Amino acid sequence: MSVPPRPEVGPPTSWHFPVPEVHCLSNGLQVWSYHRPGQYVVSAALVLDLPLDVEPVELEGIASICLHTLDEGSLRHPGSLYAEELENSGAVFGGAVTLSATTCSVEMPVTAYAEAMHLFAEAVLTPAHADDDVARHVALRLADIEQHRANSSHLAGVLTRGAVFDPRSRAARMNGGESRSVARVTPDAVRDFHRRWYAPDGAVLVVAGDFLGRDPLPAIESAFGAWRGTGNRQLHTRPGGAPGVTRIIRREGAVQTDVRFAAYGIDRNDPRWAPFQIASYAMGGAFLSRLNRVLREDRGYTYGISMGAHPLRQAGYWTVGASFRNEVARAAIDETRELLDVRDRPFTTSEVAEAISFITGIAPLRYATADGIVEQAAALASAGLDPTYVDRNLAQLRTVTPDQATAAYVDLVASGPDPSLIVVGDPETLGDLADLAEDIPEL
Amino acid sequence: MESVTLSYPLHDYRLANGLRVVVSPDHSSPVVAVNLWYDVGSGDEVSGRTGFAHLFEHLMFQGSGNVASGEHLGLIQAAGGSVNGTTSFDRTNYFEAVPVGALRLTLWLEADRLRTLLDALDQDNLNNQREVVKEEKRQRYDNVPYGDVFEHLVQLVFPPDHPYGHLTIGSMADLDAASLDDVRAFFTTHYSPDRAVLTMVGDVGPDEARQLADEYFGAIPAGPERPRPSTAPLPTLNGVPRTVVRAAVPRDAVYLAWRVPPVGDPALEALSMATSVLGDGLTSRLHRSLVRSELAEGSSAFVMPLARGNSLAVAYARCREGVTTDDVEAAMVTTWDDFVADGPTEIEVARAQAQLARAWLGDLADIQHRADVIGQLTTQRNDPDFINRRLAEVQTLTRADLTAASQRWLRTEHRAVLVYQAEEGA
Repeated sequence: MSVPPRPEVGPPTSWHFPVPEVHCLSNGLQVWSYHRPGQYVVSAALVLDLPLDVEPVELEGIASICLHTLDEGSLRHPGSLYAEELENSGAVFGGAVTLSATTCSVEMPVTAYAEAMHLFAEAVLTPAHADDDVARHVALRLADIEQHRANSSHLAGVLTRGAVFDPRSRAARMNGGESRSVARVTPDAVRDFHRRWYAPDGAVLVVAGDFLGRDPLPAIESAFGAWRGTGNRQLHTRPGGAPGVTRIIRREGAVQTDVRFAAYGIDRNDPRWAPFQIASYAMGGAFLSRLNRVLREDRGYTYGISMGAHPLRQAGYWTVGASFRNEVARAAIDETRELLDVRDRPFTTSEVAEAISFITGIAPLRYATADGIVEQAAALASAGLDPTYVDRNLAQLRTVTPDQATAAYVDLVASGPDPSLIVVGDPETLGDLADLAEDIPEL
Repeated sequence: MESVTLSYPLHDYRLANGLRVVVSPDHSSPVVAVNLWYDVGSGDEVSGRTGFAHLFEHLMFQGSGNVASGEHLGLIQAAGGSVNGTTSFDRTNYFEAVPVGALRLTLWLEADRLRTLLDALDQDNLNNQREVVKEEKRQRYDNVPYGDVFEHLVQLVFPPDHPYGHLTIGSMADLDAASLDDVRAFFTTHYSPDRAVLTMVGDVGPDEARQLADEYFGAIPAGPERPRPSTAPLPTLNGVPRTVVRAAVPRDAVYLAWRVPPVGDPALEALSMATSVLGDGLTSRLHRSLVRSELAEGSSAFVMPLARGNSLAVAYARCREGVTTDDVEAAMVTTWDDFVADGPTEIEVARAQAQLARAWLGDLADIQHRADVIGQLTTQRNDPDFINRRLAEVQTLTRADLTAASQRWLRTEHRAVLVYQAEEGA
């Protein structure tokens, strides 16, 4: 049987991140809307300019409780009446709290667009925040924290944030708060938090979908137009970094050891950002990255090891994470540490070319759906950027040279702040590292 | 409520070697999704060789006659594409989504491993991926609280020699026992063009897609006849079989499970909607009776659609601290009994229909997911166009349909029970 020759890959097609129609309501709310033919589920995200620094330290977690109680009843539709109305329309409510923003979101069938948009605004603007609902969500959040403590990978993630950031920074603790402060959150405090911080000042509403030839704006104006600003704006602060530490957490009976290397890093505005994206992909983003090729494909130590660069609005951090079977965990940690040092093995021309090709080539796919566009645009809004950033970033990525990638990486990883090492597992298998073993901490 | 009528174009044909090809052009973005659904899953494994279909999926990425180990993944990513494979009870799927300029390379890579996988297979590759799969099992099942839920559930609901009597991930002992001869035999038995559906969705025309499929796959011969025992439907469970697990989990939890009919049976859609009314969202019956009433931290119910004989329906609740599993199970049973006796309200049916429509349209918004659904409908129903008709069929279901299906399949006397009890100090 004759084998056809291996085909060459054709040149990439020119592609740009879609340009939204931008409107500004009279109350200051910005609207970015994307008409996307064939996308019959409209995705909407309201990004509130709400840095978590506004949470009182003793009530950290209150922003999450406030968000997750929004759809438990509104002033107009108290109790489960609200969820009934929303779910009857086919819509689903969601949201997330990050260090720089609270994002409320809704997915709705386009055929129920106007109705669901009004219900969405009703939850955001006039939630009931009833006593029993808030109390229940506090209890559920405390239960969630216990589940996180019981899961090695979650626990490693939580401890990573604590190791990377200055403990005086909000970034050092979970976005949803830790048990001591969450337990103090009261219904009155949540209602007060909502009154004070939920406002159109600095907020962006992103919507995308196939609007079936209709204008999406009138429903937004009618739903959000009466929302009044408060004038309360909090400046975004840059979290501080912390010196590297090693923390080894004892988990009896764990059949794997969860490992994280991590350190303080940069945000999207840093000139090293594009080269660092390229370098971290070559080190631990690609399937055949330096780390995964050796630790998974050659050694069989892990299901996968990856490196990620996580930009915040200001500053950021990078992580390398994997789970290894206990017998090889120490060898894997040592080998990872060696591989992370590129000073004698700079990134090559082909590594950089493949990273550029992947990150720029995957963009049309990643942003082909309404929710893909909204997720990215909302992330940019919460970082204080506008959607033209995507094209600017792609253009910068295309010009990165191997020298630039290596230099940015060496700056941030090899000669930057000492990375922290977080290990959750069985300390007996770790040799001299295990002197530092601690029991599972309270969160 | 007004609803969207889907009309995804579909071009469906079969090559001379039996490969089914379905093409659905969509020119909204310069990308193409390629999806191969092979009609083989862990349900085809034999005793002592569990985990094999999935281990095999890993080996499909370890090189073929003209491709080096790992190179398939490396080339697709370097072309700006995404790539992976997954294995379940009923199928193994391999999928890529690439810029149009990489479509030919993608088809060539898929064809090369189907044609020449065994040329590249060696003991080192097998040993390495065996370790990787064992790490996957540890990471996703063995080292996670409640990670063994489904293992216990399938053991409660299906006999050990049933296709669904063991999990796709398999057992460590069976993975250790896998030999090169097993891998060769598995490939020869199950991997051939006549047992696969190739779906392309995206920025490609039907004529070009057909010509490319023929160019790269047309010369691969069909496989030998595959003896495959048919799986008779099992009757509903009786006697309320029960497993109690004491484990290092933060909270007690209760799982209920039922045998329900397989994919293609009209009752299954009604049961999916019934479990949606019972367990989906803040308005669901379980959420009201368990979470709002402070007995449980969370609850849900769903149907897992399966092809051979039976599917599985599951209800779940995690106890609030200090609430016993007996109390939670009793509340679940009461909620369930009320529903089965009287069925849903008209509003609940309409709500479940609206929620299903939004979820279905949302899933299909992504060309990769759309390609996978087409592969599934073609393989399991011989009807790719059902993607366009499903919503209309769901809209015709009534209270009476949901009630009748629930009374036939979901009575609590036909349930199995799995209880987790937290070990002291966990």
